[in-house]
Amino acid sequence: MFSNNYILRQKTKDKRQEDRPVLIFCLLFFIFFLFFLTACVKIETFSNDPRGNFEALWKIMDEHYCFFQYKEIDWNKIHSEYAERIDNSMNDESLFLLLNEMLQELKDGHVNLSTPFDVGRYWKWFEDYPRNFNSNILDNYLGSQYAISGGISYKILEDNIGYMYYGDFSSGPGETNLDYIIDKFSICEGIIIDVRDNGGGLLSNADKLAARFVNEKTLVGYIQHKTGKGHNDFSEPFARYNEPSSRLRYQKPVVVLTNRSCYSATNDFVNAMRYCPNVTIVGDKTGGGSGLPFNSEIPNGWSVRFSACPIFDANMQQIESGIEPDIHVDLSERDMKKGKDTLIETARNLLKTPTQQ
Amino acid sequence: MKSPDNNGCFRSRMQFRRQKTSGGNQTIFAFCILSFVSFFPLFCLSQEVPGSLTYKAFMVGYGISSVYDSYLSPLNYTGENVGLYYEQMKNTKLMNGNVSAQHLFNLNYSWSKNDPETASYYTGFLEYDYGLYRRFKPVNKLQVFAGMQGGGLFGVIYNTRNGNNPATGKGHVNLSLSAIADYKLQIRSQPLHFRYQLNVPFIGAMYSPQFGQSYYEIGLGATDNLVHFASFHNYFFASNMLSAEIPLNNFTLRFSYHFSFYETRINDLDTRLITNTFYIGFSYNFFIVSGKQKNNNYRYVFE
Repeated sequence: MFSNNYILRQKTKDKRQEDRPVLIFCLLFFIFFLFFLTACVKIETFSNDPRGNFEALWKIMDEHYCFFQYKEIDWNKIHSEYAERIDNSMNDESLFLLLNEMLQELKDGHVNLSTPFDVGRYWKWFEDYPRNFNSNILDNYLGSQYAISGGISYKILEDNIGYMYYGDFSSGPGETNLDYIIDKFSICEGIIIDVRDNGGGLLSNADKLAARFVNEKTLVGYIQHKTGKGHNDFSEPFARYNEPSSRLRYQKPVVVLTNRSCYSATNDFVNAMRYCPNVTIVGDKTGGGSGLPFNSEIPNGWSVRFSACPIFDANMQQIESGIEPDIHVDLSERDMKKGKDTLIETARNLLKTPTQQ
Repeated sequence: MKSPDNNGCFRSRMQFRRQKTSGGNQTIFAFCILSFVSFFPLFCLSQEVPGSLTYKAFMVGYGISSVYDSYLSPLNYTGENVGLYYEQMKNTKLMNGNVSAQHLFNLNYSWSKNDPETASYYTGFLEYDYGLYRRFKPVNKLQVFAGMQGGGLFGVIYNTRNGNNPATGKGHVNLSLSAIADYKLQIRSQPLHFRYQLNVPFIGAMYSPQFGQSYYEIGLGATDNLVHFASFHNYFFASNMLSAEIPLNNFTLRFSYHFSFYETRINDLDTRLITNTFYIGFSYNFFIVSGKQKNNNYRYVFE
């Protein structure tokens, strides 16, 4: 027989042994917790003064901007040049002018520095070229009796050519809007899609319209994204296709009118349209803007936009600097004096004599 | 057919074709399925034990939050958050009745601004976990639960002024280590419970876009390499809940402080979300007898 003391001791010992795994578990858990709290993400911060904001902006662009190599820009050299000009006593306006000047070295219409008092911009992609568009002359064609559907103004001209003006891809027509427009133009000999002065908008709107002019899935280009902070850290190109719409599709000749102010999503639309059958691009070279823009910000709260994901054509060629038209036409002074739009007139002639295209 | 790429080299068009789903992704999906398949039988086994004692708690909370996400901005945002919390703990018949099963739901919504107050984040996270715990009673008045959870954490951080990178989505499926310590004391005739629960995921899978990948591209179908193996090297989440419970006549008042630390570091993208939330709510213990809930004021799951 065991004594009561022995049984009690044995029970206590058993109890301790039973508790041991729990204590070890708790201890390990605690150590894990402490270790990983100390091994956390280090947030790099810049001071909210002119130099800190300059360094933050330079770094954002250094890590995220996608056209350094294509445009042969030495971003480190630019840092050296502009860092010398930064003075912590400069006011917001002076800082803005300097930072904007640095960003303009990128020669990119998608690069903007937005502040509460101004928006930094690079507009030489259209300012240095003929405008090739006059809205007053356009009124001579549209008059007052034209229809508007989903942001598209459209009318059948007197020679049975359909004309539509789409000035902003930010406003998107619905599929039903496009059905009505295409149905109305079905009796026409051909249509003119005028996207002059369209500075872009949503790529999805451009894709939606382009899908009405192909009958089979068509490769139109590729898109890449940055996979790291290095200037050349890019993903494998991902193919982009123009997939035919399951609704009404236009089968007759189409002319797309372009000028230098066709930018961003409009540049992408023109790119997609040139791979469609029966489509001719008429006008001036587009403005470009093939980098899908991202946004970021610097410590003082100013917002910066920049090209982040390059988009290429179907031959993997850059379209950042614009797309050449099939037929180059400028708005002539003589036609303007007559109230005529040379590009629209050229398009009408092409559509009336499709065999000569 | 050859064509120049952006590096000025010539590459075969075939190289540009989308790669098929990598073996790594298949492994991760297999792991996820395996995790749930492993947990599911235990889940079923522990479900309806007739007459089993069950604990439920509902709480609403308010607190402060700090959000950093380098996909959206290099700046840290600070603000407030509100939360909903639901907990169910039930004794099971596993291991001679020494195992408890827990369901946890936590919905948190926060709004925050950058320091210059020029932009805002809206952040929403939903967490669900199902855990199984071995109960221990190392000393009198102290009950310790140690176990594992399987669950998911899903959320989104939205920036009000970004264009093509307006939001970042978060998705996690993971197994977690979890521990609960419950200490009971009595002040005069009023019993009190103090409880601390810590959950730390240690293995799983998580969703993350690439460093500069747009959701437009993902929408086109570029979905390779979006799901990643997750463990302490790239993901750390600790959910700490400290609670005090005061049993009253028909229910128990519960006050909690929840400290949540969420952090990911993947594809050169860093995210950190810290919330400090104070909750208030109620809890109660009950039996299921003949399919009906019978409130119980004498016995507690957390004894």
